[in-house]
Amino acid sequence: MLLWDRSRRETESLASSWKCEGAAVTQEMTIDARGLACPIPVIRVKKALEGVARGRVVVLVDEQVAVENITRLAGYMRCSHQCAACEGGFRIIIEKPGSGGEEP
Amino acid sequence: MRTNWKAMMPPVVIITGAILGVLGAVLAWAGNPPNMGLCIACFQRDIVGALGLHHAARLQYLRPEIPALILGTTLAAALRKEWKGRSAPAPAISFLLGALVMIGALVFLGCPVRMTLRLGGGDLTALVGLAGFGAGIWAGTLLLRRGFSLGRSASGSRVPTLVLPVLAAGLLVLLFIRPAFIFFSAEGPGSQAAPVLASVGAGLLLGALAQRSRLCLAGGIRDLLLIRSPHLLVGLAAALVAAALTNLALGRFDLGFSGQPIAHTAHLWSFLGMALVGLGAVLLGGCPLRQLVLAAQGDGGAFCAIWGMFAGAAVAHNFDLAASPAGVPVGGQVVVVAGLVTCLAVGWSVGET
Repeated sequence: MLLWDRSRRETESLASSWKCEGAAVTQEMTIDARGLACPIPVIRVKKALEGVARGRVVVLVDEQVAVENITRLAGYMRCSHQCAACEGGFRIIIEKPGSGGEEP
Repeated sequence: MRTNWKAMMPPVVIITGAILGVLGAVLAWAGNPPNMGLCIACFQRDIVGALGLHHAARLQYLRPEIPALILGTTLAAALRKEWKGRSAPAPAISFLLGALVMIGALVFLGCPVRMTLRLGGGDLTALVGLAGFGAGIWAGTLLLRRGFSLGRSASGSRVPTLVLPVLAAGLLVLLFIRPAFIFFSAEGPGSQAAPVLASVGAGLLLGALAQRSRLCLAGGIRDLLLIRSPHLLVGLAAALVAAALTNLALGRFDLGFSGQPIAHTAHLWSFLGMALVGLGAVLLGGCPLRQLVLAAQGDGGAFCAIWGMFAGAAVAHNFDLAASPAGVPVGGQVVVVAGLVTCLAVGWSVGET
């Protein structure tokens, strides 16, 4: 329980951080959606993905149903995603490829 | 542009919706009230009456579909390792929203499941309810976008989650031994029932399928509005088509606005009643069916919502709020409007940033 709370504080304090990859600026963001009821995790991820031109969104969730909903959303928004089990739930990493990646 | 049809229209959701529609029509044919083969709100109300918690003598029966659905869900969740204890982040609000959703449903005369089954029986008055349901869900999505949240639940022990399935099993036992303190209607909708084993089988199957597919009739419209995803809405559509086809095959399809069974033509209140159901359901995170499934797999918030629904059913009939085919009592009209205002206030003021 203690570990859980501490990790939550850490991830929430990391609202967003900037990093440079060559010329393009990408943004990385972590969303702690553990314990939030459907569909709030999905809304937060959607807002985050819409707020950046390209970048990476890391989402922490603790339910299989949230994993399904978020990966479905990532598919709709043409973002690549991977999911791994982690302590207390799942970590989903979503990569938004930028405007160039949306073309077929 | 490549479209992932399987993600947009998951087969398991379509199958669950179709089986819901077929079973709903068949159970009505087999003896349940007309266009009410299955209704989460009405059947909880009948159970509340059977337990003597309301006095509407025509609406008392220990509907086995509800406890069977709970047990089917719990079994399926246990098999899939999704039976987990979760705390209720806002128990009082979940209880209140559950009660308001129930009152809204009893003013319309049906939860979203029965709304679909009424449409599938040709009852066009339910179209007004569907419009209200959509309007309520739309309002709910605005509040969700604005940041509404009931808060975070935490994982917990699985022991408390045994309460609901054990109570469900207890209700089935009471149905079989029929003790004197359980009320059974001699006439009216409460006296109309499909064979118990058929109801139990249907409930178990639907509980397991609804757990697996996460079918939610409010979620279908909500996700279409929020993320342009029809993946749950296809379940509602499948239920509607399957119910209509089954009713046509059984010769029980009667298209029209007038003379529909257990329905009224007070369209404004059909609209507002279902708007309350839609709005409350979005704030709760799911329609009454989904709340029942979530509660049965250990969700504490949904558990509070279910008890709110039971309380709402008792209040609705004891205080003469619920509609009848004759229309909607003034008390019901007042509470629906007050309920909508309450839901909007809760949705506006509660949340975490």
